Amino acid sequence: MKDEILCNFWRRYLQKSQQAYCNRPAGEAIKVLSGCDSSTDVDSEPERPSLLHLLSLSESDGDLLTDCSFGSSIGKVSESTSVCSGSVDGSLHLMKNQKDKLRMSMPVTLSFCYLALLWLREPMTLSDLLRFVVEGHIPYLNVFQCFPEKMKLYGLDLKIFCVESWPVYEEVYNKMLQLAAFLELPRFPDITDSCFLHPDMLCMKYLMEANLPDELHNWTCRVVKKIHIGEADFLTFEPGNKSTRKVKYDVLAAAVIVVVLKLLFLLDDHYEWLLSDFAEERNKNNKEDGPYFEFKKWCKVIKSSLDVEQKKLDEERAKYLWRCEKPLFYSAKKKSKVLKRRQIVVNLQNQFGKLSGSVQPAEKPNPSSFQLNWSEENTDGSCFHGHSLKGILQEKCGLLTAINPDYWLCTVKLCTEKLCGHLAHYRELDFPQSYHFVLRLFSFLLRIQPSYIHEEVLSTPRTPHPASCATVTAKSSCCFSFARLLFFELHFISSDNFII
Amino acid sequence: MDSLMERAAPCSAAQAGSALLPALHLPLLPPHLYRPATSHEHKLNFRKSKEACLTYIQDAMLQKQWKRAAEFLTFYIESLEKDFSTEYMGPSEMIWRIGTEILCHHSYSSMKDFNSFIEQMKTLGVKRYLKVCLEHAFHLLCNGQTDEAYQNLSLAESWRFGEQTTAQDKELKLIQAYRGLLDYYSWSKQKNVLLEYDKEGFEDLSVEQEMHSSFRKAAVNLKEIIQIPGVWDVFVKCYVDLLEFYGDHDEARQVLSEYAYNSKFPANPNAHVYFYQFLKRHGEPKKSLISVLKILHDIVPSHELMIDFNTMLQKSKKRKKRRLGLEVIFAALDYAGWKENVKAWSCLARQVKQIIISEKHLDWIKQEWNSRKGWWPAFHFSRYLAKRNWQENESLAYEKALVAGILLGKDCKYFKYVSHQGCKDQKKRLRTLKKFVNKHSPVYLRISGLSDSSVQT
Repeated sequence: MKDEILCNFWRRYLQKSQQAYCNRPAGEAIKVLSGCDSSTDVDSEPERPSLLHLLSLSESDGDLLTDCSFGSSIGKVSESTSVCSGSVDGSLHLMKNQKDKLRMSMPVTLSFCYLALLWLREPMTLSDLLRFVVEGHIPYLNVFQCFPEKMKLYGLDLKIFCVESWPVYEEVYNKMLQLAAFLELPRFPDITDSCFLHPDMLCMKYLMEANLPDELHNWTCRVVKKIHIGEADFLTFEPGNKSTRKVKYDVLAAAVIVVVLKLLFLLDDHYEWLLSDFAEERNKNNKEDGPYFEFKKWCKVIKSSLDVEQKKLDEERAKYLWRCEKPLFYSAKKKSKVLKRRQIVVNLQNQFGKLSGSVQPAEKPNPSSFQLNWSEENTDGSCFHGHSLKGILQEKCGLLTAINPDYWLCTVKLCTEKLCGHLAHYRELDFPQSYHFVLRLFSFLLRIQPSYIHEEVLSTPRTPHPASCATVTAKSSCCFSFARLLFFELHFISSDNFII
Repeated sequence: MDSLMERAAPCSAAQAGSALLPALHLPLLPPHLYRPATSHEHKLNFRKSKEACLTYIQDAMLQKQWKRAAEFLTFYIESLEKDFSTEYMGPSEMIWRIGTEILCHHSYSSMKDFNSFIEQMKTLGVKRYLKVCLEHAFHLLCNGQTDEAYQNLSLAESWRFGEQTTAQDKELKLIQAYRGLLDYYSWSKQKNVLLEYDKEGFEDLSVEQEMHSSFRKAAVNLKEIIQIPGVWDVFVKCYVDLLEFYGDHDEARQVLSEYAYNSKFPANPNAHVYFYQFLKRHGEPKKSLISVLKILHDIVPSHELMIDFNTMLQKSKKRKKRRLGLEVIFAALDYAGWKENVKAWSCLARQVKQIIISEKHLDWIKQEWNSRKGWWPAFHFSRYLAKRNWQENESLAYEKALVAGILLGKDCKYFKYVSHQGCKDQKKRLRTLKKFVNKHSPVYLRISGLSDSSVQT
């Protein structure tokens, strides 16, 4: 059934872009390649789906084995097609005017995949998807290895299928939006509380991964509820409706966590250390009850693992292999040259591989949705999940609130979206170190730039909702102003959302 | 980030950020370039990936971690499949150079590995073919495999590839020259063999013939390269040796004087040295020797031949030459490398003594001393040096003390210390030295210009 969804999307795309499934495929008249008849009409319909290998999802542990290979057909009807012309419409494809049509490219295939995932409300965010692609669990880099034998890539196909850069989150996301609008898709299935993509669930996941206390989850839920981002109407993707805000679920969840941390700890390079010192004092004196959460200690632990992981990642980036055993070549003339080169490369790799003395790891580790793992069984006390937030909370009118009364807004001059597509430019120097550290942590987990999370954090208080707020739009360009916002004074009206 | 950990004291106002690398605020620089790109970029493309790989390789090589360098090189190699030819040094050249370094130093690599690697490198870049061959030959020579080197060079010499042959003309000439050098080497081996045989009364025509043919081959190639302006010390020496053996002195002389005096050739002190040595070997008159060495003195005042030069000049009858001699020896001793050279000091001492005893030309010494009296005392005649020289080398101390006594007077630190030590140890010659200096102490006054009137002693 899941295959059907992607297949349907694909068929719809082809129909919309008039490449098939319609009466007059565009561009027929100008096709002069290889002297084959203009027969890419209704006859070819049955051929196209047969060439698609589709998603087969195994839901059990979120693993994904994808075999997306989108190709133009070469196993053509016409016998007069010469074998070496490559895909018949490869050049046509590239020549097409892409102003109003979405041209198919490798990142767009990922957009397709994500659309399908979103439709099915699978427990995989876009950042997870892209991470799996980079780690090689999803064929993307050298996807032509998975093509059937008779499909050979030549000439201009290379431009399409030869991938030379990692997919970028923003690009894939924007293409997805365009694609959804182009395909005129209806409103997607609702995203409710029990969905993985709901901020509550995602926050839980990220809190675990970031080694933060479980109690913070209550706070994230409160914030989500307060600013009404937990509602199905807000979260569900509606391509046709231009006025709804498009939600990046993973970035949103990360932003919520950052907001909560700001609420509780202020993150101005001063207050959080004070709180941390108090907690440390208390922990020293009182060993029987559970430990209080110490920000300083958490920073240390996270920093060391983050540095290790970052270093590993940097080395992986340097060691990334872009080519595979099956070489690509532009034409038959170049084939021998390319093959010879490949042979030399393989020989050299063997020679130096022996010298480096390292044994190539036999299999890749299985894909997992968690990058950092913390377990309570470790006796070195590096897991903070069970720590309590008591040290920073106080009772007020029978409710728990944070000791910290303040919350800062960034009042550095904002940019306009029209100018460069970004809400604000993030410069490390302008913000407190602790804030930057937290952003850095989440930017590593999601593999996106810290500025995206920062933008999301900025826009969170501005989520428009009729009843709530004094949205504070800051126009001054001075660095900070401490604002006591009505909307964040934590006298929550309903009391059913907290656990002491 | 460490500053983050240390912060505990409350600050009065929230300070945004801490001391980070200051951002660059150049006028036309776009904002996102203010800070250097960190590795927290999450984008990656082929080119950036390979650049990063290259930095890792460089780091590993600088730290002599050959295994790690080899590991990263394995990942870099696939950039051969995409040669960015716009860059100054493309991937294939990088790989050749890096690979050579690693294979030279890695403990597990053998010559066989190296040879097979180089063969592959030769096929990779036709524009570099001869260069690779030449460096391969050097490497083989460094490892003592002269025969293989010879074979390689011969093979390279016969390589033809259309336009490339003329484009790589320089390398070809070098290859021919080095092959000539190896011919010379085999010639000299054969010559020694023949000499051995001679001693024992054998004769061996075949070896002799081989020798002559090596000579011919070598001579042709060496002559070729020497004609091109450049620094060819090794080749010139070998060629001259060949010519001398076969008695062609005129040709040898011609070659050497060309090498030394032709203005097209870069200035090369060794050229003059070779010429001088040749002339000396053939008993040329002093005049020509002196003229050659004069040029050498102008180029390299601190050359070791300056001692010979000075000796020759001192013995000369002409006043000008003796004056020059003094100049030469003073100039030589200006250099730190000569500070402890006994011979140089003895030359100077002898000449100074001679001048003083003859009581003529004191103004020469005065002139030479004028520019040096400000710094020579600290440079050569300090008390510390006196002690050290006396401990290490008494003759050095003696010569220096004589000079010091004359130039700085008998009250100078150096002279006093040495003469005191000498008299303590009852060295006879130091007593004579003391007497001499005391006798001629007014000279010091005249030299240093303390007294205006010239005192006749």
